Amino acid sequence: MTLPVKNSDPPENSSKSFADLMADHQPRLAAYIRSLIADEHSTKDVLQETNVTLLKKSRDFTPGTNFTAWAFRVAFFEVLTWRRRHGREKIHFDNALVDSLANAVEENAPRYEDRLEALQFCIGELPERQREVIELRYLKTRSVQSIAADLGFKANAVSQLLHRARTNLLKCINDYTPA
Amino acid sequence: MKPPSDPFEELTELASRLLDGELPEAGTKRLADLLDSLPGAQDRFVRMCELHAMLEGEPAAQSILSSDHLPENVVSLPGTKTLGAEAAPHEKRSPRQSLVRLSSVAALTAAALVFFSFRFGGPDPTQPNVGESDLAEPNPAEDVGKPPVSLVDAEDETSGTGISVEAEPAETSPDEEGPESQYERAVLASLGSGSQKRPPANFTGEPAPADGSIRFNRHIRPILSENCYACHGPDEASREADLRLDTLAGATGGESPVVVAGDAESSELIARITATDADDVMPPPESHKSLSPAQIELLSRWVSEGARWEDHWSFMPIANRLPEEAEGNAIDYFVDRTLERNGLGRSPEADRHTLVRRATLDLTGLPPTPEETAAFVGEEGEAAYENLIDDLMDRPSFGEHRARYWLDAARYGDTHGLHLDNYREIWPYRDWVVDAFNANKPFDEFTVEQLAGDLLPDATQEQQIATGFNRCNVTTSEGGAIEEEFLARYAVDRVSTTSTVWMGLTAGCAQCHDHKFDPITMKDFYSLYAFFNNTTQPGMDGNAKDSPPAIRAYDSPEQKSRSEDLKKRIEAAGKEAEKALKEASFEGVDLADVAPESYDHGAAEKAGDLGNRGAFSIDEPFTVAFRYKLPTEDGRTILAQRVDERERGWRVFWEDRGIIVELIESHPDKSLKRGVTRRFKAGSSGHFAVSYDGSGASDGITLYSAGDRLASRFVNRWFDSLENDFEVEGAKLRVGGKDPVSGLVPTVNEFVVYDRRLADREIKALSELTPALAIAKKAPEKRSDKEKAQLKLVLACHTEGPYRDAIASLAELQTELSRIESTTATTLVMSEKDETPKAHLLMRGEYEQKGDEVAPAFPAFLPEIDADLSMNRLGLARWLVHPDHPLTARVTVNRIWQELFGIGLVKTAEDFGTQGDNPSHPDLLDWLASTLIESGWDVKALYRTIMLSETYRQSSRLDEALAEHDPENRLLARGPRFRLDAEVIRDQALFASGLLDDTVGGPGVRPYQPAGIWEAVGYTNSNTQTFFQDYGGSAEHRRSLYSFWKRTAPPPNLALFDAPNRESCIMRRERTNTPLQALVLMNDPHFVRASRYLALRVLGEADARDERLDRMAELLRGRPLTDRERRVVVNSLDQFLNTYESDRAAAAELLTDDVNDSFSIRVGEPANVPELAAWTMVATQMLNLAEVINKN
Repeated sequence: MTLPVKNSDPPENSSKSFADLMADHQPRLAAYIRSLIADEHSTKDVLQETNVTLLKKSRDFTPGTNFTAWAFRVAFFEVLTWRRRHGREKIHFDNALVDSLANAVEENAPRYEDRLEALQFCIGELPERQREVIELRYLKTRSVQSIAADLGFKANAVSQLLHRARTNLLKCINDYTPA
Repeated sequence: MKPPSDPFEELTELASRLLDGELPEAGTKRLADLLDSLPGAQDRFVRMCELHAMLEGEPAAQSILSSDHLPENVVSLPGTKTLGAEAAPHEKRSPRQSLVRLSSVAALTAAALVFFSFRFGGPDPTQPNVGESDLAEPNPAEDVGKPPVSLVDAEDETSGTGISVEAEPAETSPDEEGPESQYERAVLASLGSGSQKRPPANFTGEPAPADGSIRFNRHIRPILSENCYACHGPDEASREADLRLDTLAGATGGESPVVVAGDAESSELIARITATDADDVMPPPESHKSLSPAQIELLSRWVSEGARWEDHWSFMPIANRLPEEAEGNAIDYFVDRTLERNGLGRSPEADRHTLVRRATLDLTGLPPTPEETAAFVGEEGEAAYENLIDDLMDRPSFGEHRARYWLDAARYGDTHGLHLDNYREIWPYRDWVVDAFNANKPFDEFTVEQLAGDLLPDATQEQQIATGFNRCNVTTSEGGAIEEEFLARYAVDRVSTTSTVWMGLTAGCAQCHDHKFDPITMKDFYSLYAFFNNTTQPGMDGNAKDSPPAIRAYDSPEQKSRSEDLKKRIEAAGKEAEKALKEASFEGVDLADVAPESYDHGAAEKAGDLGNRGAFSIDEPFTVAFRYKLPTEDGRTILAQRVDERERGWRVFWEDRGIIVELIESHPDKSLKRGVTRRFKAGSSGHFAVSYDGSGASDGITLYSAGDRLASRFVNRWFDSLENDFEVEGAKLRVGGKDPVSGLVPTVNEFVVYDRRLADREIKALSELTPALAIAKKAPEKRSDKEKAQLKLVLACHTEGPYRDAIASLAELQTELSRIESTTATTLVMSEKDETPKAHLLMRGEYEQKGDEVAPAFPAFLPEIDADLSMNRLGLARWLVHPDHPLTARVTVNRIWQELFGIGLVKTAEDFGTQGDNPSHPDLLDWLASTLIESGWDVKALYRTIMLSETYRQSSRLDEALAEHDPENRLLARGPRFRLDAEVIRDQALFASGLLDDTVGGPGVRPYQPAGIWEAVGYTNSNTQTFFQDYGGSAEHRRSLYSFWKRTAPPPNLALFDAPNRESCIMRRERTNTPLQALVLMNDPHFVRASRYLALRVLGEADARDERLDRMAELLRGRPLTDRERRVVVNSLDQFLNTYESDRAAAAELLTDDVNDSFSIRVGEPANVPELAAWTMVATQMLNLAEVINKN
């Protein structure tokens, strides 16, 4: 009997150490958690909890099996724990939606590396202005407010720029991810 | 943000803003709606989150962003996918990539560190003696940068898995279990580590059952409950395929039963769980649940062996299954039986030092004194131990310690908890709980009085106070909150809390739908709800401390009867006055002659000066009345005052369109302000009066407008009494005049001041003096009847005669009554409407979606109890403590077992349902429960029984094999050892240093806490917005039980040690272990002060260095130092001495108390300053020892 995992990892995973696997998976785990709880601040907390649990359970992981699925499952439990701990003020999604979103991330998971490669190309395709805000936002990790102050824009204009940049990136990634 | 017309566009934009942290609450709701309804939205959203994470955290993406020129291999990516695949970006790392990578590894390391300290950082729990490493660590003078994590003991009763941290994946276990099931076990175990988390569904110490011995409750139900009941359980609404597996009929009945007893082959259940096709397999992949091979094997065997069914264990009758041939202590008998089955044996008895400390901490929450320890250690024999237990249970501290656990369950707090989180006065209930435990009130009475004391015939004051249990829930008075909705919430809270505390049922789940796992239906829930749906309580608490229904909790029966007597006499005096008024005639009396001499300040430009009049001390009643015309613009101005240059005294002022009366003991912090806000407009005029009963309490101040009492409130301060006088010399009475700050000028006329508290009608007469004078000027025949009556009342009040005598004695009686009432605490109670209780089902738990009406009823799935019970709260309470009730006694003994052993026989003390833990010792649990019932619910006897067992007295020494086999000590092969609770740690430090003030009961006290904590969460118009510290030993050194509990910001040094916020019922505290705890123990002013006084104490109580060190060790952990330990302590003492000899300023600073200078230590001989400072540091070290902060 195996876990209900739909796809196995790329073969290179089997040669990596547990710590490397964990480090590699930080962005993916953050994405997974963020999708389910829609709260930036709590995402970091839950990611941290997930990392602690992963370390605790490291012995239970069999090298060569699907690390991504395993780690997602741990993250899923941490999200549930987080949901139990927080009152309605923080919980935006109901149970059914969380389940469904978790499913969506998992279904998307196998093509992650491909999309990451496509992204590297797509960043170069962005119009100058959009690339600039993406850089400020992600490389310099600046807030919308502070980017706005820098560029002399209204915050709303920066949000719009970021929104358009992301839309473009998504479309480009979609187009250039090998089928 | 204008929503775009295209919903997909809108979704992307909302998600984008969410990722930037710029999305308001409403936007998130809209996002959730779109995700629910818009096809493809979820994929898009998930991709957006992924994109964000890539940009934020993928070294490859970051590298592209940081480079001006794109790397060649990426430029050529489109169309040449093989290149990208061959040169995976993470294999060619730029320096920047490595940097990013390093930082993520650093974050992981930090996570690992926390875990390491949690698991390994503390002293070896297998060593009862404190090793050198314990003592060598805490040396802040030497190594300030080092996180003192190892000071906090890492003994970890709750981690439960024994899995170590290893960066490399470990070897696959030789165990036959696959990795999935190992993982499953690990995840489940980790989920069980806190009260809010789910514990393992099955007891892992249980050996695999031999052939033919599979028990449904023990082996099968947990698997079904965990994996199947969410869709095939009691909840009809979410039931799939019309299949339920929680009843025998559901599993084996119907046309094509899924379970065919004895025939696994033809059982669809087995076919489905072993299916390989994703469409057929159960549980389905999307449920994120799966069965391990071992579980599948168990289920198959169970079916093959006949699929024998059992009802859920906790709903079956309690039975005493102690065999007749069992010898000795029954607890030990049951524990030994289980240990034998597991090939283990009991540990030897703990040494006498450890035992006396364990018993004393368990029964009183305080450590033994060295003298008590010595007496016990010196006296051998069983009798000594029995006497110790009995003696400890006779101390008032027994009830205090027990109450502390109960108040977690009762969710007791000193504020309302929601919105303003204003002060709530209900501490008499807390004191009732302490008294009840000390009086050994049988648990059935304890239950009945708390749930229904008000419904008992001729309910006493104490029985009414007890009903505070159901008034401890959080309440609100927020503008816009809907009364009906909140009343529904309060009732839901009461059902949930009552179900949890007495029955271990998570009934709250059935608020919106039938329970998913337990057979409790929505109808059951709302039938219980009906019991609580008949209260006279309003939905809004009015932000008042005494939100109705509330009673006065009189100090003594005499006071209560005096109060009742006064009320009767006041009624009689009122009637007498009426009679006198009827008979009196005031023919020929000219009102102008008898009217009181009043001071007019019509001119108003300069302040009036009435000399020394109006000088009152705190215990003198008085009345002040005047007619006013307010300035024509908004602002603040004094109407009358008598204050000195330091602003002590009293004043009446107008501000923020309100009139406020203030009695000022010391400016600006200590004053009583009472008033009515936003009722008196600029430019308005009228008559105002204030009377005071001389009680020093805010309730003793009464305000009047136009002769009628005003419902006034307490302004800006929640403490409601003054301690010291506010009378001042050298001040003058001032009436009206120009305000020096605002420049506003009010007009004040007819100012009168009396040195007594006037009766209401006297004040009415004062307010009507001017109209009465006008009436008096009219010819008698031109006066209307109403005018005649008005004039007569005014004349009567001001003319000597029987009426005035009667009214004066009435006023005197009222003043006395007021003084009693206003200094007597109020407390919130329950009271029942006259109607018959009933309720409606609330669909999906929504208050406005009413379904069928239901009458109060007991849950249908529990055995029917043959007793004549009333269908109200009283009946409910009696049903709960009926000897045939299967849950109450079990839940109660389990809770008590948990207090002593750190973990209950049922680990999930709050959940005895199918999702809860199975008991580790079912027969022991039942024996304890039946013993409790048979003893007449004798609680002290139960503690005595458990503590006299050898099981309780075992050494807590843990060897490696046992740690591996049973890390949580579920099999009880050793004694309890776990970190003390927050309150005990603080109380112990105060006690050992000799600072503890052991006064029992009274209002909550506010000892030191860091600045800004209340302010950070407080609404500006909350009366707990600002924290005011209490000063002096009687407030700063009380037991933590009495610390004021503001629910939105509980005392931080307790919260850090897992004290709950008391917003909801907690049956089981978490027990975490964080570096912050060590920082509190080393730096919190309470603990530094305790160290200082502990040092001072041992320096005074012993002469030689070694004696002093031994004394310190004995005070804290009950036994002197070993030679090995002494070397370590002496070494650090010498180091501290060196440090402080060369830095006397630092030494002096350490001896200065930052919080309250009166607790700074003044050393007569300057040479002694470094010595005392060094000893203080040693005391701090010892306070941090694992042996001190743990019960061993």
